[in-house]
Amino acid sequence: MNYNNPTFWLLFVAVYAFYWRLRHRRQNDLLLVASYIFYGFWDYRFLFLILISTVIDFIGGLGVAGVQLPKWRRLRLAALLIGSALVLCSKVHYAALASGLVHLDAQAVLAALPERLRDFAVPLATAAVTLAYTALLPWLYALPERTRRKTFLTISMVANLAILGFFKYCDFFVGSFVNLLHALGVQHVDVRMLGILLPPGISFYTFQAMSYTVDVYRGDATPTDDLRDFALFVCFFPHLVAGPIMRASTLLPQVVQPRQRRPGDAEEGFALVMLGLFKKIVIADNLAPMVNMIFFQYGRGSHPPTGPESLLGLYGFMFQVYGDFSGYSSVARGIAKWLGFDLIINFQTPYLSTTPSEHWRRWHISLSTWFRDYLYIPLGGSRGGTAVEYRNVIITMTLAGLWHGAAWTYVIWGAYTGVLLCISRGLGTKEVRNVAGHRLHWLWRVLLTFHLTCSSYLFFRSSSVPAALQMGWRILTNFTPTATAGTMLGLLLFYAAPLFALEAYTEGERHLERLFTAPWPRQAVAYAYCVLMLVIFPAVQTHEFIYFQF
Amino acid sequence: MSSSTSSSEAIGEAVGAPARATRIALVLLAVLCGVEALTRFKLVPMTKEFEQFHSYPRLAAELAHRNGLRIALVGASIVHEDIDTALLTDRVRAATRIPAHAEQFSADHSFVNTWYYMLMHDFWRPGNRVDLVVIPFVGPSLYDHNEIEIGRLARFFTTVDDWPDVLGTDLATTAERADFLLSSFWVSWAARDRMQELTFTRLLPNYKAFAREQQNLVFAEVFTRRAHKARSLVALDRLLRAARAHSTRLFFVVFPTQRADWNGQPYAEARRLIEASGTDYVDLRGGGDVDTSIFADLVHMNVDGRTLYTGLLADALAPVLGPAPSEAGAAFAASGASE
Repeated sequence: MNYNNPTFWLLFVAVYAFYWRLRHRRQNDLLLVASYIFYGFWDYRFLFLILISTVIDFIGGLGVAGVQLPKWRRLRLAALLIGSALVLCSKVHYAALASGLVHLDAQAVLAALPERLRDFAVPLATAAVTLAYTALLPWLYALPERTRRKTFLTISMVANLAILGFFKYCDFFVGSFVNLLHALGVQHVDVRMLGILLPPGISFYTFQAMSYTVDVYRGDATPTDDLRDFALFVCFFPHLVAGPIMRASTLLPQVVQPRQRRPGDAEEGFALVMLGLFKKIVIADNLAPMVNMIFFQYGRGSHPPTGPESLLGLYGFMFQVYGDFSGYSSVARGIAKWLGFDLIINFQTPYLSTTPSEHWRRWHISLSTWFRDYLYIPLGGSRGGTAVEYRNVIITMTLAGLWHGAAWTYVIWGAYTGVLLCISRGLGTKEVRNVAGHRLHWLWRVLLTFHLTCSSYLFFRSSSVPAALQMGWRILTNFTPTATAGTMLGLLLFYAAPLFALEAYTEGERHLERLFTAPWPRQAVAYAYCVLMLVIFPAVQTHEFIYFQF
Repeated sequence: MSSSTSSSEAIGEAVGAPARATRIALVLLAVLCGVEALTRFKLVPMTKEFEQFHSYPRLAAELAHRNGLRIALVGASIVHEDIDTALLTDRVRAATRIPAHAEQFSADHSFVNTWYYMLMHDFWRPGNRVDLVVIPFVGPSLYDHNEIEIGRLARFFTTVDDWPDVLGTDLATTAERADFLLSSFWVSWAARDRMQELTFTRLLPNYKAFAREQQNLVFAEVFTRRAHKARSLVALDRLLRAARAHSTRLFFVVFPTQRADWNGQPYAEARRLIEASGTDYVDLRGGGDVDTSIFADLVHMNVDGRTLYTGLLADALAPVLGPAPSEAGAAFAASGASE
């Protein structure tokens, strides 16, 4: 269920109608139920994965902090997991079951129930692992402090990465292994892909849940002993499937403590939601067909578009992905504001950066800081000399690429970005401010950084590495102007240029209050423009948010 | 780590008077009303297609009151691009020796859902009976879950009485239903596709060609993806039942295109359903490679193609309307005219 879908807004209105009338505990319960409904709309079975992540990190955080759960709570958690597995993953045909019960049809009820033992595979496996872990917990609690802390941390990391690895990367690694065998001359390899359905946003919530245990381990966050609060921290619906990835130290206190209606939140929330919908529906979705048209032609081996068309297709993708992702973050922040929460700013005009490092400090901030704090710094960061620093940058960015998707194009995108960052650091490039006397220099550096970023996104969007290389070569060697390129440029300017003007004015969402402190006629013009574009120029076809697949 | 945003305090001071929000809301309302008025009184009358839709009830009544064979051609752009009405009536007249009249009722990029409502409002009303309704089609038009132009369906082809049927049968998602309901009373929303087209054709000289190229490439992928999914025929079934209930004789005819994926579609289930209802079904695709010289674009024909396939259509219609000099044809025409 997307923000650009009316069903979402119907659900939200229903939640909001009751939300501020309830006491704090009941507000949290309402948000938890709403978050599960929101996520379950894709596929109710995915809720089981969120529950596993939640319970493991809940126990893990408390275990690291040395808080022992009493036996009855451990058993209740085990019962919750096993019960969820039975309800969500035992192949019951619920629609048929409900129909059978309504019509008092015993045969229909029996037909809706699982038939074979293997239909209970997931609940049985869950029961075995859960009961074993529950039995093991007293022994883990009794370990020396240092060992206990490390053990709980390791269990949390391994469990989260195993879930992520299986659901997101299993087929990728199996496929790559088969291709490698083929390349080595082994032709008859009888391996079948599992065709695993990728749960939306799995990378976001596993990273958030995992970082909680790490933060508790480091002493950066205080664990909660209330499962419902922790569950809400993991699955808070405004940002559940595409971020921003929130830290426990920032979001958990907002969950645990009562929230107040603050003056200005309603208006700021409205502005953020409008801005986000505008970025998604007007910019990203309208540019999508143009971008698809260009990249599709490279993907299928037909006569490729000209260099200018390809370049404009790439520019189009840059604005599409920015509108799409920053639009989602903006709506997420706006909705959170209405509910009394503050989510962090995830984008700060990244395309106005003057160095690749600055770009990554302004683009998907919650993820880049996550990788910085939980991977780059633990690897050694910039300590240990230039070579070690460059190695760490490349490892971090390559893994960040893999985080985005299970494909070699993403891996190469990440590694290439890492190399760009290393070159930039090696050359000692400094950021340039947009101040009088430096404007031309600033503009030149913005354009250079933007195009370097474009070159990396060529791999990100292309269907394969050869397609990306072919497109890059075409851009560099073919300069034939066409009427199609002219139209593409016109569309790009029509949709993206006003956003750029607004972003330059407010520096993304960093100084959004500039909008509110402006004279009211100016605000009215901005709102009218936004509303008119949303009414008259929404995309004909809506598209799923790009980052849902991550 | 990036700092949490807390501009709320600053904003709280800035927001100040609620009068400001009221003023902005009033400006927004005024702008939306202005656009609505402009759309209703300027854009709709100057849009040829919309005016054409408005004329359909009148054209249907005129056709129904003519003497001789009365043929309505109902469908998408194929109706006006691939069929020459004057030639068709001449050929039918020559074949049946009965005066024939034909009229086109088309809506570009429309599907079986829209055609049902066109028939319901234009022909299934007292006194508007015609002898034959020819439905030429290409691609997945007869199947459910096509991307219907919802604004047009809401404004021109349905009334409030149709809402339960439209919301239950024709529209599958909440988004589509919300779009339909909004379009029913908000013309600017319903006509947004036309407004976009109007803006871009004025701003960008090559826009129409670009949009066609883009549509061909991107939608080819979408259709290929959808072709693998099982498609239902609920709307077609509804049309056939309603036609039988109103004693309307339908004639489905498949036209060729240059699109291999469309030409290769067997329409097996659709054909079974149509023939099971006693309705005529003719496939003009021929089965082999199509002659590309008769097409103006991937889907529509040029003058040569139109002449050729109008002839083929007339030949296909002749046995249905009665072979010359058949008394049956005259009787058929007479029975139709007497209603």
